[in-house]
Amino acid sequence: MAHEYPFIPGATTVGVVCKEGVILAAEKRVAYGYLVLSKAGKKVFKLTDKIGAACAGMVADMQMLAKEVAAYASLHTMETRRAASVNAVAKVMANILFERRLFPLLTQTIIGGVDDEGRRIVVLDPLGSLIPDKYACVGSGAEIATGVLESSYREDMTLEEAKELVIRSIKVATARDIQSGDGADFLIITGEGMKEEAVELK
Amino acid sequence: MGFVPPSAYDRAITVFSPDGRIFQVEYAFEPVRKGTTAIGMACNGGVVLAVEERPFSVLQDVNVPQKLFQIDEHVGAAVAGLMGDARIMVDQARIYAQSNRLMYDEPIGIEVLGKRAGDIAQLYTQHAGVRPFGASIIFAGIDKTGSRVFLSEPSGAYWGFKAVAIGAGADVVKPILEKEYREDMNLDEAAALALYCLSKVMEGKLEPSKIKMAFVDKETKKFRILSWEEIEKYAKKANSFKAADRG
Repeated sequence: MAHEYPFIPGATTVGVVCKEGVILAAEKRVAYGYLVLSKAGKKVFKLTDKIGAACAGMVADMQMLAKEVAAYASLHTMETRRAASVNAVAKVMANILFERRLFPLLTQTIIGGVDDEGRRIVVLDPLGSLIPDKYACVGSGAEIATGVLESSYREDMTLEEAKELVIRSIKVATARDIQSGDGADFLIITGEGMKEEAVELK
Repeated sequence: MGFVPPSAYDRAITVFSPDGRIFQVEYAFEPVRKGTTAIGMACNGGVVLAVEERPFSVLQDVNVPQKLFQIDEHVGAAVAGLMGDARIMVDQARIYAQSNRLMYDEPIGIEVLGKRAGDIAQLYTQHAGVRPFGASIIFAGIDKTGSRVFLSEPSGAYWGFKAVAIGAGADVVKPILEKEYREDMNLDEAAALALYCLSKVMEGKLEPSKIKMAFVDKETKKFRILSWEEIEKYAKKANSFKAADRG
């Protein structure tokens, strides 16, 4: 809630698994209490060629965390000579978060991607809980967005259908959550690779 | 062999000879060459490790494998050379295997293990006041890429193999493997071939105190040390190679 922690920006961040891949999305508002600090905050991050992260919380923390995880993932990929799995990358992030248990990074993250075992997303809380799922929302708008996903999500959705659903869930959340808004960034990941997209929410 | 006076390049391991050799590292291969034979083989059915052991006393408990080690659930190791040195490597490999699970929530890759062992060995070729490892170690197991065998040497080099032998019998075993090895073997065939190779380099007949074997089965992906009853069964099959043997 904005009043409890005025120094933590809110967010609406969504991840879903669909038939052809994974969609990660986060709106772009960075708000400190009643001030919209930025309308162009980027809360989705590329971690490897086919794995990304979408975050909510402190922007500095998510940026440093994403950079560090991307570095470890790249070392792991070179050492094993194969693409890192989504679970491995999520585990690396969980370790970093858990290491700082007493002085946590203030971020919630959805890691998603495509690997040898298929398409998957994993949700992480600030202490590094690692929870695999098919669809998930984090941030101050999560309650609202989850309501939309909960009623309409199907595992066999096409990429287009899933994208429409994610846009709808973020639209609903931004309409009622004061800390979310100003368009959304998308990471669309399929077996072929990763595509970044910016969507205006009108 | 006459007496060879030591040259200046013999002493410090950190000093190259003028023709680019590091003698101490080369000498570290000697205990491996003089050691008991160890064989590692990768095939469609999984991987096989087979080692020769030489108990030095009839009182020794020969049920305890000395040169065959489990590294993790899905990978084992066979060693030749100085046993103390080899054990340090095995201990480190076990730690790497566990930290890989902690760090990535995944079983470690066999090549990664081979490389890490090489990394440790290499440290002992470049620092003053230390000596290189006097042991080579074969890692064999099943990872995401399939059945894999890697050999790490005292120099720090590591190599991938379909089948490999180290120790005193290596020169005899390698040509046999080159001739008889097939990638599409099942574990029974691979075990029989490994035993046939060992029978060619060991004195006397095969007996429980002298041979230890282990599998990592493609189906279970679990490391398992074989009982003597199983080894005996494969020893009988090893005779089929003997029949084909013209040498």
